[in-house]
Amino acid sequence: MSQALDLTLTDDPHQQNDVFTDAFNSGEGAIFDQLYRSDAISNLTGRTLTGSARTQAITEFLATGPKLTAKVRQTYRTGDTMLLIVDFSVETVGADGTPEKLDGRCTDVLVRDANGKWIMAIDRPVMQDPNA
Amino acid sequence: MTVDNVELTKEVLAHAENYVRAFNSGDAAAVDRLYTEDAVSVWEKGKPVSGAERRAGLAEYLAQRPVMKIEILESYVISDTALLAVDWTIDIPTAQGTERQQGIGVDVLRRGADGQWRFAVDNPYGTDI
Repeated sequence: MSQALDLTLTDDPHQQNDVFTDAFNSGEGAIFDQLYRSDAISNLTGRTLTGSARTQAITEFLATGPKLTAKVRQTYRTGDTMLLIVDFSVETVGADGTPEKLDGRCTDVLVRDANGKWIMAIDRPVMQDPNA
Repeated sequence: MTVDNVELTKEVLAHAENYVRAFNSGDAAAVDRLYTEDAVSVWEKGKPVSGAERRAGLAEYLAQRPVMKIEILESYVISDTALLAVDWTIDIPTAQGTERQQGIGVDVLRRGADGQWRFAVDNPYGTDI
């Protein structure tokens, strides 16, 4: 990743989604982590994590090169709080080395930080029921 | 570390219980105090309402004397922000008997400068969009 990403999140959920997708697909935890508040809760790796454990888990996962595509489905916003509902698909590699595709719907909570910038506070991906 | 915000989570769950009590009392002003000033409610899928429209909608709904029950399925709580997944039912008495509404909500709460939790996004149908 030689090209620097602009990680500023505007009020536009589609722009936010593009930034998240680009940061995720950079494969670099240090980049993706900048989108999260230091005390954020993330469920992206299948466990509910915060702090250094959250950073470590997502960094290890992104290092495996998963590729994310995502589409914003709903957004609800107040002055300082936003709920996003996003459909996502992640192409990754399973433990045995075979390609895997994970589809689901993620609920994201963003809040404004002390500088008025949007930042991720809580994410909650739910995998699609394969029998649905 | 995994997440262990026990005290904050207790506060948020207490808020949810207070909400149910206020809701079932039918007191619209009491219920409204459990929302942030600019809260968004999505009682109809994909149609958020806020401000005076939200307050009026809530008062009108409560006038039917609905009875809510909830079960908190998931809670994620940090210092000033919480996400809840809530399985709920509401029974509304009608001349033809009880009308039941139900869903799994995904709600966002914020903690104000006064330390009180309030609903910021009231999204009763959650990710069923």
